[in-house]
Amino acid sequence: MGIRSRLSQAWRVAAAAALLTPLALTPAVTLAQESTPAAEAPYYSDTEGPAVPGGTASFLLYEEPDTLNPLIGNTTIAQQVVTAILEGLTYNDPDGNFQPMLAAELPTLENGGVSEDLKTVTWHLKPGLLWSDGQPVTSEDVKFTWEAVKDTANGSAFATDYALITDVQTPDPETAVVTYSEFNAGYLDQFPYILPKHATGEATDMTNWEFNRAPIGTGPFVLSEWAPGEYLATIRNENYREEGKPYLDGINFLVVPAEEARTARMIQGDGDVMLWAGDEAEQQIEDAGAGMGRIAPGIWVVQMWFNLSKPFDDDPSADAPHPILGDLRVRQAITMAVNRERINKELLEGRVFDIDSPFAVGWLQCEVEPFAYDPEAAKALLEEAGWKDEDGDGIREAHGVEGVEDGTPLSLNMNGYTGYSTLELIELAVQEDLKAVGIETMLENQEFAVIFGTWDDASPRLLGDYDLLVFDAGWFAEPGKDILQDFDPAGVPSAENPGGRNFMRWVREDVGEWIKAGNSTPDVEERRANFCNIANALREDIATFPLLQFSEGSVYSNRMHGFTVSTWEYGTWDAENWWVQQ
Amino acid sequence: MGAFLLRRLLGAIPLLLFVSIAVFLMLQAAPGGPTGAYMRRGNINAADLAALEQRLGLNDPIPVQYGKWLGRVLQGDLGTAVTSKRPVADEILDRLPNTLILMSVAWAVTLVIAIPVGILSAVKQYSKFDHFVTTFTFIGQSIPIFWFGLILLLIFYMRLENPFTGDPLFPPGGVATMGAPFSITDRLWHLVLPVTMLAAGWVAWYSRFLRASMLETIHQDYVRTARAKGLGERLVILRHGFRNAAIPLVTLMALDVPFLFTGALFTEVIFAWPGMGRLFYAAAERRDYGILMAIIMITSALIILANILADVLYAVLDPRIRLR
Repeated sequence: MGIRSRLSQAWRVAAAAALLTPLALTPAVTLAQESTPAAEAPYYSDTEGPAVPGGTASFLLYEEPDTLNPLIGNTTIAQQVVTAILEGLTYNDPDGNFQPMLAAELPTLENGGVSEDLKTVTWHLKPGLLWSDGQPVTSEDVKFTWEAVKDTANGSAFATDYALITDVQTPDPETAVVTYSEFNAGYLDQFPYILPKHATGEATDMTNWEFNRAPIGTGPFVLSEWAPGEYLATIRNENYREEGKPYLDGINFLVVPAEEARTARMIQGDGDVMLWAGDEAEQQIEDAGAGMGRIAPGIWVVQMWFNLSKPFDDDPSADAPHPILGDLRVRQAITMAVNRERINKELLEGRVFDIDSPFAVGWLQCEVEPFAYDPEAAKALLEEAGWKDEDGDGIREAHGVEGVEDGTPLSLNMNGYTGYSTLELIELAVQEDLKAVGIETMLENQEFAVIFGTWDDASPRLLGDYDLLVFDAGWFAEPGKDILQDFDPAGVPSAENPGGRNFMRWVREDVGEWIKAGNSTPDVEERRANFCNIANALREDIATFPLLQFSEGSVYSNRMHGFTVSTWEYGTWDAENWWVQQ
Repeated sequence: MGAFLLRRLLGAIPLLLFVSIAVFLMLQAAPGGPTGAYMRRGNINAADLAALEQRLGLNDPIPVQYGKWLGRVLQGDLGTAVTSKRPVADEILDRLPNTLILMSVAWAVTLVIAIPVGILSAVKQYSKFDHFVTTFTFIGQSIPIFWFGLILLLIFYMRLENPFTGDPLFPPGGVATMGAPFSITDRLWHLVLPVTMLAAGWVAWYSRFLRASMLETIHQDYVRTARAKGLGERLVILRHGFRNAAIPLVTLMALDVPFLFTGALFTEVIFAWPGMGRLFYAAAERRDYGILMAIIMITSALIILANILADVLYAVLDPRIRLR
């Protein structure tokens, strides 16, 4: 679900767009070094102590936050600040598991928090919680948050995430009972933010609240000043629930648009966190001995998506198989031909992570048979499938391939989106590797708005008019809805079903059953088992081919300690633990 | 003169209307829309996004959208910024004082340097001073301003120290020291680098312009006549030469007035100066139509006014010109 989500994609697209202007001198690719995925914890965590209280940290942002009310939709830059101020009932730990934040515990079937019919979820708040202005946090605030966010007319950007809730009852100040019309597998992710009823306004007037620029929260820090376009100063929340925390006296969020200026501040000791620093900036800061890039795997996985149905036949359905890609052996050969290690190590300097399944992330951690680089085996498979290069032009032709006229070259279109140079580099490498085994690919990148457009925009992936798509996509910590959307056998996009997103046209009824089973229980193990079945089916059928996983992280000054970089939360998610060497 | 002003001001109205229609259409024709920032974020789902667009009226036919916009503007309402959900007027008023301070100081510094330099290099044409100035103005005009700003940052923030405190000589940006009480010296200290960055290019431009204009006038017959009458050189140059050479300069300055409002993007970006240039740039990136339209229309109006002002000044300074 929604509100929580991370995002470096907007940043990367923006960075790529900025390349076109004279403003950006350095391409912001991905981050940091030390990216070899460690076996246990791939994310960076500075847990050595003891923490020294006091001091202020400077967090460098590249653009100004828009609004600090996450419910009306704000930018990821704003979320960096919001996360230090506002909290919700739950959060995600760095492994992607849900943990209670304002809630006393996670509601489950076992502890009675989830009713037998799965339609009622009871939340208990931690006792004695206070807002930063000293007022008590009560279940009324939970109810109020729901009332504000459930209706688009209020200005909510997340109304549909709350469509299944029919009522929120508050039997006592510490208990909120949420009633659903049907079970919501993402119930743990339902309230990533709780807003104070007493310090906001009418729910219907949400977009005009003063709260939006002067929020009251339960987080470790409180906004003390917002100088438009210049900085947002925060000071420690004296009513924070953990004794002795936060350690810092405050965090100053400085808006410094020029990457070079941010880099200079880091080197001069005037910055402690440089959000999403580009490679060159990071290198300069490290060379100056002023800080280090610290990363975790990002949620964004670059995959090659195969069209399994016939393209350009005015039939978006999955009925007719793709003449070339319909043969599993060809898809298998493609995965064997691409040298993913070269892309990771040489092209992207080891700043990304290896990945074999989109289901290998977070609490899912599904293990599938790894894809292996073996160009010779790829060639053999293509020969076997009837694709041979008899005219010696380096490109194979059909010789006895069913449904394909003899002599048809083994040529495929490859589409991505424009304006993101890293993606283009990856595409070029894939193209070169495929060429080496006799597969020709035509690169044809389109505008972001076209590739991710709607049915009415004639998005090629929805019409089914493509061969190979290469782009990055990611799931949030609660992926149930995304898995349904991406792999639902009934979700093949068509004029009748324009919202369908199974654009690979990978139709398997058993997958549909597993999705349903995984989304109709609160039992994590059962969900994992069902979703991992899909992971294995996806690996068997190769409807997509994961190429790499981007990293997430920032450059931190040497005096910054106590922080952990998380895949699932914004940079300030653990700000109460931060401390600086004096 | 009165009739002239009235006619020009009335003539500005259809011109502004035309500009607003053209700009509105151009903004609509650009790919993407105000909700693109959220689309890319990927966590707001399609149905919510569609509802958001509906609520913002982005799905109305373009003439309807334009009509609504015009109606609001005529009532003095510049609309609401899409991303921050704040009134556009508030967004602009937050940034305007900073921009006016930076631009007017830079402008004043420019004139104080450029006028004597321009006069001197014309009077002493081909002297060592003139060659020196010529060299520097060519450098000033041709260095990329962005690069120049970075060099200033490198030298005066990263390399040079204040010998008394050991801190960097100049701050890396911002309008004042964060958290410190208001202080004029602190503010001026923060202005030094951005003003230098701006003035370097402007001084070059203005002084070259004045030099050329001076050269033209001081070789005129009436200047020779003034000298022949026995006027002192200083009076000849300033009263007879400069006064006439300044006419085109004043016109140029009047035409530059709108830039006091629009700000200077590169300078604001490098020195983290919260001005209008950055507001406009961010709005353009986010396709925040409300802010874009407001800034473009105010700028257009200022340009038209500046043109009228230039014409009027021209007539005031040059009695040969009669406005009809």
